[in-house]
Amino acid sequence: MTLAGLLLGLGLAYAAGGLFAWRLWPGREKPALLLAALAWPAGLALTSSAYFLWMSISGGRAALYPWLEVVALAAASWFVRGARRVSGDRLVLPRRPKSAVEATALVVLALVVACALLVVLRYDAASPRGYWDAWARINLKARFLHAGGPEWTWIFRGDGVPHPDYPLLLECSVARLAHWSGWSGGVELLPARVLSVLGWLACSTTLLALVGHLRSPFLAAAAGIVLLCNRTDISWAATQYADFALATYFTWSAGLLVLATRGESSAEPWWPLVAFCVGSAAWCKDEGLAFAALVSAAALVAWISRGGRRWQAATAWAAGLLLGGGSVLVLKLGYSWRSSVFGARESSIWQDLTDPARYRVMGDYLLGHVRFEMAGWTLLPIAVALLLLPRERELRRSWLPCLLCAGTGLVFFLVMITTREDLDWHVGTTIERLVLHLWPTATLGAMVVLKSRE
Amino acid sequence: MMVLAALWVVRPMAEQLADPEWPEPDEYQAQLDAWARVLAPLDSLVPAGEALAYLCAVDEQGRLYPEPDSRFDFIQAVLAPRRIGRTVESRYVLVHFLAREGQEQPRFDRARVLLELAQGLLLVERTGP
Repeated sequence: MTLAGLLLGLGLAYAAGGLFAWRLWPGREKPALLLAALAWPAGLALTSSAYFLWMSISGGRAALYPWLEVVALAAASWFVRGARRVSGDRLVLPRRPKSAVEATALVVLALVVACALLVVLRYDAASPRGYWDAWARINLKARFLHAGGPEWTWIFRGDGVPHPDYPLLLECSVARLAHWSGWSGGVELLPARVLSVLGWLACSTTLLALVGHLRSPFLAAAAGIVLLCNRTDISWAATQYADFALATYFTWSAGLLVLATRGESSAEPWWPLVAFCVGSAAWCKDEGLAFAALVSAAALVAWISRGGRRWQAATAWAAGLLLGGGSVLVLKLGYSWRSSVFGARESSIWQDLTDPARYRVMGDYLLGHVRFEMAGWTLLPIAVALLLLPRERELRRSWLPCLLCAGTGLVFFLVMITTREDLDWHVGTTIERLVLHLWPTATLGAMVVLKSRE
Repeated sequence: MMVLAALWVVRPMAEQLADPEWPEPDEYQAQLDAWARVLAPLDSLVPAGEALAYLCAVDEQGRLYPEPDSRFDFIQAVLAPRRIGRTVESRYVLVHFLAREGQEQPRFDRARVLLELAQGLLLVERTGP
């Protein structure tokens, strides 16, 4: 295992995402901070999709992938460089803090983030193999994806492989990074550990960059502190799960929707990028598939109700979805169509939906657990702020992240109520993670609609 | 106000960081390490890339004993990317049974025991169909 190889693999994914974000970001002026924050999640989605597609096309020739990536990235950078000369696009650096209060807020935030990072690293050092789903599912599949050969499809048909139909963003990323670092299947799984911590950092950076761009550095610092109030979230950062990656795509989708709809100009140029983030969420986890279905359905209804250039918008949306999560279609339909949601049930969905006992189980768990550790106390002021301090009516589209968050939360809730698995077990193992998925988007939503004296 | 909020967030973190015993490792880390040690000899006994059949003991009603069967996740996680499963065809078989004191090892007519990896866990090579 070489550290240089690991860093090179990380750097190439970041560069791929940076080039992609640069190319797809609408307008000539590109905000440097936002592009820098988007580069990592975009690169992770692109390189993991490319890895999976290469495995599918080549029949598992995994060892050739790094060479392919270098060639593809060189070609992409040449193309983007040429296009930049013609279009005259330029980077816009973030503005400096205007006042001593803003500067102090950013310093305080930096200290809090540094402290939180130490906490995350301590969690990581204590459990280097990650938690159950990491070693029993994610890293297990990553090892097959890394080894390649004709038997790599064992992950879809092995009689003991759990969730054969699950999306593979993190699994492919671990396998890809293992190739770059020269990992040979040892006990320590450094690529998975690094990706886990970077997932948390990327999620935090996304929230800070979006709030900083949409509102102010002061509110960005406040958002960062609100995010870190959720101590349960931090405890998940080193589990080597895909939850923080998913939360990052949720937050980007919501933030880009605000950017797309807040001005008078057409939102159409934004659709590929928004859909890319939505598609990446679908390529990340099953919850992301539900999110993609919800957002795509809402977009479709909006286009149909408005008329006009609906086909162009739909095409741009579909292209973005395919870029972000196109491999999911190959995965789900081509390899495995075993669903954990739709299957034999003991009672009908309608019976479950109308059973008060199931709502009681959910309610008891929520009331019993969403307390300080799960940021329960911060939910209250955020809810009060949303009710009492709405921004001006003309900025009503700023409510989109809150609506998205509420809609996704409702879908998750209904999926839980109608689960065909044991409800107690499902609630106990899932609710913390659902809060984690939605907490950054909820924080973004609150910060975007808050009235302030800037 | 923000400094106070930050302090409120940082204080519990600082308390945790000051505790050398915190956090306790996930309960399965030690089990995985133990399984890695138990299964290490497999690499030299079974050719690389060769799949492994997994056979778990069943009770009188034909049900898998929960205790050995629940260990399959660990075995699989340690052995990946070697294919291992209950429906795998291979001349190498990992036999997992309930190890009780005084109980004899299972006997095999068309197989020979290559190694007893642990109490109740044998690596067997089929010598016949």
